Amino acid sequence: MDNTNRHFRGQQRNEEVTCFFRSHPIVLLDPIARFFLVFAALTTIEAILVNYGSLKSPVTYLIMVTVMVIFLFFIHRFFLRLLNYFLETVIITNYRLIRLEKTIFLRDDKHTIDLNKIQDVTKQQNGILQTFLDYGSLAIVVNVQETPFIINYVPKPDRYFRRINLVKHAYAIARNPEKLIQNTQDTMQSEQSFTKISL
Amino acid sequence: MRILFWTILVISQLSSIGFAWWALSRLFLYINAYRFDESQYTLLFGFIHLRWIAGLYLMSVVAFALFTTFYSVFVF
Repeated sequence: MDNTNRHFRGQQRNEEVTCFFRSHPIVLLDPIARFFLVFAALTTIEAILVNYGSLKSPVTYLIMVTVMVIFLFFIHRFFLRLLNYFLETVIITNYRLIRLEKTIFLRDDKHTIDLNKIQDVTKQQNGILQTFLDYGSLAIVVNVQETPFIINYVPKPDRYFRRINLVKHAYAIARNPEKLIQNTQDTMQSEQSFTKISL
Repeated sequence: MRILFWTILVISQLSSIGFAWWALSRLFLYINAYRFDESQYTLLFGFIHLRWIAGLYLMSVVAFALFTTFYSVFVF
């Protein structure tokens, strides 16, 4: 089956999407809280102006227009933030790990890590909030001398930690089946030797 | 003063709707480029789809434009 560009642009012929995930919804707590605070403040100002202000005064007009423009700005900012949440994705395929950091207007970054180059994967889940809401970080070590590639706000990090290790192992087997057979035989021989010594 | 107020109101609301339309058209391009099978693990809070947010965005902008227009008519 030809999977070229099937699920995402740049998908290779035999590449299959194992799974993908987005950030934990905790990242939206700040924009949601700010929006409702601004909404409450602007509504209060508007109510005061209508009830106590002079509707024929130019100052009242000016304040009403300013309040309206500010509210428009925050509506757009809030919804763009929600839409941008869906555009930031981490994709795990049978060949590589792809991180898409994209916004509607300002950003379009892609980071790719070949599964063969991953040396180590670490899951970090510290603190009350992360434990109760089940999110954390995944640190992917590509080269010991370089800083690890860190993915923050991973929902259910244990699930994706195990998934990355599984696909990495499967990828290693697919690339080098003879080496796996040799490793398995070596392991069996060493276990037999250990059993003989023990007896 | 009223003319200025209404001019600013109309221009800002039309610009707002145009901006929302532009943002959603760019979002539509992205949706076509990245076609994933969504699940409870990938949707916002497990059930909110991207198209719901997009529809709510457009409806909010249009509703706000209509609201401010009629509000201004009755108040002023």
